[in-house]
Order: sequence, then C-alpha cells, then structure tokens
Amino acid sequence: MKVKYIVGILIIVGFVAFAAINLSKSLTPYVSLDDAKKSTKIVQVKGQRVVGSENFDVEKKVFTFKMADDKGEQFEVIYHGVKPANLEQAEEIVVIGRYVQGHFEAEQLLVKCPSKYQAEGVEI
Amino acid sequence: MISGIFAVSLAFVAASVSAAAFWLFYRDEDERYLNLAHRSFAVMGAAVTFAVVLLYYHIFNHNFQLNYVYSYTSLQLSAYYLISTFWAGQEGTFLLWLLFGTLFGIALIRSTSRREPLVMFFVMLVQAFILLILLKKSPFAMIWHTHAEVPVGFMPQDGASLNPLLQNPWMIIHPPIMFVGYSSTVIAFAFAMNAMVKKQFAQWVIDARPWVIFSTLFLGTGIIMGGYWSYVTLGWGGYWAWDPVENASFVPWLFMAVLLHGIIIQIRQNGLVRTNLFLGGLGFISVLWGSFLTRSGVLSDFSVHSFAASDLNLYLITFVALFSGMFLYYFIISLNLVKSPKFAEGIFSRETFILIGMMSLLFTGIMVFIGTSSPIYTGLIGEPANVSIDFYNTISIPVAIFMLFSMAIAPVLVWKVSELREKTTLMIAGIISLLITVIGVILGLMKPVSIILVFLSSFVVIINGIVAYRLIRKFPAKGGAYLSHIGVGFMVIGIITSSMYNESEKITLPAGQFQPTKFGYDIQFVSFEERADGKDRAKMIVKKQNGSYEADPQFYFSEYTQSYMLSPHVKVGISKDIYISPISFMPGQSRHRHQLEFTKSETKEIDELRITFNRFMVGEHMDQSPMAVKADLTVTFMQENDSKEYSVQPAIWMEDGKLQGNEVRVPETPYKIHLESIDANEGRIMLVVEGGSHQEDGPKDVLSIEVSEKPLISILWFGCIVLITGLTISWVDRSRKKKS
Repeated sequence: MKVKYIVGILIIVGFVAFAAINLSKSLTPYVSLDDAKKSTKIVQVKGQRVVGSENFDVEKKVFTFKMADDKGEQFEVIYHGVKPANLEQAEEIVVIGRYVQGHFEAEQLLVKCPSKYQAEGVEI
Repeated sequence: MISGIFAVSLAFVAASVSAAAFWLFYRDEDERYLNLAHRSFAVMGAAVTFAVVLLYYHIFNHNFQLNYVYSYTSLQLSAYYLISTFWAGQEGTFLLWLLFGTLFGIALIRSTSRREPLVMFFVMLVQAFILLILLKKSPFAMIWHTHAEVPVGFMPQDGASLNPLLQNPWMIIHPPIMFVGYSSTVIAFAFAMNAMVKKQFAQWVIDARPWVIFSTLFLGTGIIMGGYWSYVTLGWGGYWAWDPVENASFVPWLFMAVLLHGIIIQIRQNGLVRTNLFLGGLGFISVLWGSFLTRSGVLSDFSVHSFAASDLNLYLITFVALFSGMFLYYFIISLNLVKSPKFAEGIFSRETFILIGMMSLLFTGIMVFIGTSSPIYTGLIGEPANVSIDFYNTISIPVAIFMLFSMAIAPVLVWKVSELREKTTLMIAGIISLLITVIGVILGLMKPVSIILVFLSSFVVIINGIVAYRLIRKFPAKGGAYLSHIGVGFMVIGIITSSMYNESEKITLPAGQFQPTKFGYDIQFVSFEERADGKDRAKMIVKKQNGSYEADPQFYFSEYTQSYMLSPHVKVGISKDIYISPISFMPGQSRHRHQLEFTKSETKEIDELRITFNRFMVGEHMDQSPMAVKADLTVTFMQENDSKEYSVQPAIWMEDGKLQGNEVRVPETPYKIHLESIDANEGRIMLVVEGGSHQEDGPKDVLSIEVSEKPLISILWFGCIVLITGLTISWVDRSRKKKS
C-alpha cells in the first residue's frame, strides 16, 4: 500500500519539477533593445513601428518592418507570418523573439491598439 | 439615461436586501424573512430585466447619445449584429452576467432555497457586487459623461460600429454561452460555502452536481465555439493560442470538470470531501481571477485581445480578494471538521484511476493559471514577464498521457475492488488501437509523442465505445460519461494530426496565372470580387487532379480598424481541410491611382497624360443633378510620335448628404478620371487619375497567400460534438433524478 503512495508522490513531485523548470525556461521578460542584443533567450521588446517601413518580401516570403524602441533606436524585425490586421493603428508593438545577426527574429507580434480608440472617433 | 441608472441602483439595493433576508431566514428560520428575500429577489430580477430591455431598446433605436450604443453599434449593422453588440463591451457583459445570475436564482428558489437559504445568500452577494461594478461603469452613461470634450446633449450622426472581426455569426452565440458558463460557477461556490458554514459536508455535492455538469457543459461549449470561430475567421490557421482570454475560460472549465469527478467519488465512497470543497471555491474564484486579468488591462501588453485598460482595477481586485478571503477562511476552519474515510485502497480500482484523471486535469488547470498570471507576480519582483506558448504545449503532453491512460482503463474497473477485470475487452481494444496506430504510422505518423497519444486516444475511444454500447442498450440515459470520454479521445487525435502534421506553404500569385503548390494542386488568383456589404473577396481557383473548386477568402479595407481585414477560406474535408489565408496584395500597374491637385489654368503631367484644368462649369448641361459642378479639363494623351487632345468634364454633386462623382474615361486611352473634391472659393480641384500602361505585359496584381493542409481536423470537431452531447446527456439525467 505504501508503495502506491510513494509512487504517487514521486510522480507528483516529478510533474511539479518538470513544470517549474519549463516555467522558468519559458518566461520571456520585457527587455530593452540593448539587453535583447546581448541575450540569447527569447525576449520581448516594446516599441513603435517606423511608418512606411513595412514590407512583405515576395521572394523570401517574410514580413519585415522597422521598429523604434523607447530610446528611439531603430531595428529591423523579421516575422515569418501574416501581418497583423491592425498593425497600422498600433500605438505600440511588442515583438517576441530573439535578436540575431543584426535583426530581430520575431516569433510573435502583439499589437497594442489605442485603448481610447473609439473615444477619439467622436466628431464634433 | 436616468431610468437605466435607476434600474441598476434599485437592483443593487434589492439584491443587498435579498441577500440579507436570506441570511436572516437561515439564522432565525422566520418565514417573513424568506418572503422578504423572495420579494426583493423579484424586484432585483425585474430591475435587471428592465435594464437589459432598455439597453436593447437604445441599441435598436440607434440612440448614439448613450456612450455604449455609440461605442459599439452603427446604423449599418444588421439586426443580428445589433443583438451581439450587447456583449461587445464590458458593461454589457456584466449585465449579461447579472441576467444569467437572476435566471439561476429563479431555478434555485424553485428547488433548494427553503432548505438551503445560504446558497441564495451567496448568489445574491455576488449579484450585488456585480451591480456595484455596473454603478461605477454604467452601460447607460451618456457620451458627454465619458468624453469631456463632447457638449451636453450632443447626438452623434452614427456610431463607431462593431469591430468587423466580431461581425460573425459565431460571435452572436459564443459570448452568451461563455457567460452562462462563467456565471454558473457561482452555484457550486455557493453550495460549497453553504456546506462549510453549516458544517454539513455531504448533501451539497448531491445538490450541486447537476449545476457542476451544467457549468462544465457550457464552459466547454463556449470554448469550443470560440476555437472554431478563431479557426474560420482569424486566418492564422489555428483554433487555440493559449492567449490569456482563452486561458481565463479554460482554467475554470478544467476545475469544474475535476470537481465533477470528485463529486462522483464523494457520493460513492465518501472520499475527497476537502478536495471537493476546495474545488467548489476554486472554480468560481478562477472565474473572478480571469475576469480581473482580462478586464482590468493588467495584461494588455501580453494579450492580443484582452479588453482595453479600464478604471475598474480596484473594484475587480476587491471582488477577487473578498470572495477568496471569505472562502479560504471557511475552508481552513472546515479542514479539521471533515471526516474523510480512506478510499482508493487498491491500485486497480475505479476510484484510483478517476483520481489519476482528476490530478492530470487539476495539474493542467493550476499550471495554466500560474502561467497566465505570470506577468503579475514577476511584475512584483522586477520587469513583468509572461510565459511563451511552448510552456503550455510542453506541459500538456505528459498530462495528456496520464489523462488518456486513466480514461482508457477506468471503464473496465469496478469500485472498491482492486482487480483488473475484462482482460479480453482490454486485449481487443488494445489490438484495435495498435492497428489504428500502425495505419497511422504508415500514413505518416512519425513523432514518438504523437504515436503514443494516438494509440492511447484510440484505446480511450474503443474501450469507452464498447462499455457505452453495452450500457446504453440497458440504460440509455447513463451513457453520458462514456460518450464524453469518447469525445475527448477523438479530440486528442484531431489535435495531434492537425497541429503536429500541419503543412503550409506561402506562395505568390500574379493575377491570371496558375501557380503550383507542394500539395499537388495549382492555384490561380482570378480577381477581387466586390461585395455589397463591403467585405470584398479575393477570388481564386484551386485546380486539383479530380476537379477544381473556387476559394474566396475575405480581403478588404475596414474603415473601423483602418486596416486590411483578412479572413481565410476553408475547404472542409473528412481527411483534411485546405486552409487558404491571404497575406498581402500588391497592385500592379493597371491599378495605379494618382491624386492631383489643380488650381485654375494649371497644367500637370502624370504617366502619359498632360492635364489642364480650365474652369468650373456650373449650371451647364445639368444631366446628373441640379447641384452638379463640372470641371472642364483638357487632357493630352502623349505617345512617342503622336499626341491626341481630348476635352473631359467629370462632375461632382451632392446626393443624400454625400458627395458623389462620376468617372470619366479619357477616350481611346486606359485612363479614367474623377473629381474627388472641389473648393470653389479657392478655385481648386482634386482629381483622381486611375488606369495605366497600355502594354499588356505590364506588372500584374500580385496576391500572396498561405496554403495549409490540416489533416483530420474533422475528427477534432467531431470529438467536440460527441463531448458536448455526452455532457448534455449527463446533465439531463442528473437534473431529472434530482426532482424525483
């Protein structure tokens, strides 16, 4: 009978350890562009898009655009996916990925739209 | 709107009085208190219903003076989408929550409120709290209350309208179902609280059981519908993204499902008493916590589609803290009072395997809860960080193995006795599952994880199928649980095949040409098809060996979001879906469009045209409308050795309060000209010149798309339907039994 409990507890401990390791591994902090350049982990960087820099590369089939971080430093973002529909209105963009070889390789784009968007639509 | 705010205030007072009266009835058992409780409940119900009707009245009458109506509706929306604007904003969803809370209250009053008045006390307490939030953030606020720059009494011409992504049939039905699920978790909470206050820990699980099944059913159905909506409209190719908003509904679903199984063990074996009390509270508290995460704006940096930041933080966090604190207080007191006998003595007893399944689900729920909340606690010690999707996917796999394993073995086991019975049934199921897996491997199943999961899922489907078949022949109403597990088995197979073996290719399509894909069929982009509702579609032909079909994903510019809206085309098939989503569009030469401003007598050159604006023509040749103004232009079409001069006169006029213009073709050329606007005082016009090169081989329109194949995704949706059916059967069965 005791064997069963020991096995059970071992499995639970194993699961918790497994989850804890994965959790700490996959935590992606917000960092500055400078830190992103140094880091080899997946990070997220917040910034603004550079208007008019969006381009869908037909040959490479990637979406690229330029972003400026909080200090105004510009960097190129490469995203292997579909351009988010509301990118043009984005007040802020969060790119999640790695900085490699002079550009940011984004795995995910989060587009933060103005929260007061509808309020500003009032015409008087 | 005074009457609306009055209704919400009245409902708040009535809910508070009703809660107090239910509590007094519990303490003194005086009939008069129960009467008062029921009457004030009726007042609250009437006031909430009035508020709902009133908001709809304003929505359908386009009273844009109401901030809510202005913010989410417009004159163009059809009646169906006007219905769904009710839950487009936070205020409306809280009102919806209240409405469902009221309906549950009616059901509880009719069944258990006399015997268990405290249950209604807790339900009314929650109602009162939500009403308090609605007093702070009222759906009946006028536009000048929320926007300081708007003068009092101002009536906007039109509303800001509903986000086009939400203008989808699924969005009419998905949110209310989700909210039925959310709001119903309060009932299990109330029953658990009631049990702890009264220190009677046995009866509540019997009373709460149909409600727990009900919550599981509606949360599950809502989540599945949301996933299906995401798959068919958003165009990123998936149905689940572990986004905070999704997780906020997934976690309570898992907790309610665990409680559902815990209740079975408590009723059968008197075990898991403390666990069930805890789960009863956990489901509702996770709903509150999820509401806080998604509605307060704390995650707006981490989610694509949380509600925008709001000023409700303090209210919401108080809401969470108050109810969690109350619950934990009673739970800790109850811990020592509960006598929970030993159970699950043998390894091969049914309860042991149910326990394994429960622990798998509970573990997933807690991990998703911790993962989704990570920006909160990491924010306390440093820069807020969230977890990547990999975390959820990685932990799901071992959990899924344990869960499937428990569902595969449990049906052949019996209660209390540790004995592996029906070895032949197990053998048969094992052999068939092995065969299915081998066929899967032959068809391309490669990754070890997917092979294990497909084998276990097949096992689950077959063994539950055999047991359900035997059972349903004798007791048709008893098959719900087995059917639900069959559904889960199918779902896992569908998830594995469609996500792990999803293949996609990005291709660019110059208009008119067939382009090959790696899937063996050719795709041609024909042209854009303009639609009356403004949702234009990119028309394509997909040519396969055995016939062809037309695909027409949506691709249009939305005024609302000021950007291009994309929606995929899904060719549904039993063996696979072909999923085409547009990525981008580059207009070729033929679509060139130039905007030019002219003052009187000015000459400008564009492409092969030289245009001179001579003068306005007012009151001459009034064929369009008495109000029309024409611009007299001289246009020279410049060829290398031959130039021709034309006189062109585009017109502009007012019609129904809008500027209208006609498009005039420059004769014998591919150019068209129309007047965009005029300024008669300054003598200026704005011209739009469209058209392009004469040459046939000029650059063409180019559409980029992503084509993907989702193998056996049909099995996922089929599994979903089976799961929902199973839960419905169980719910009907358990509610019916309760009445007798």
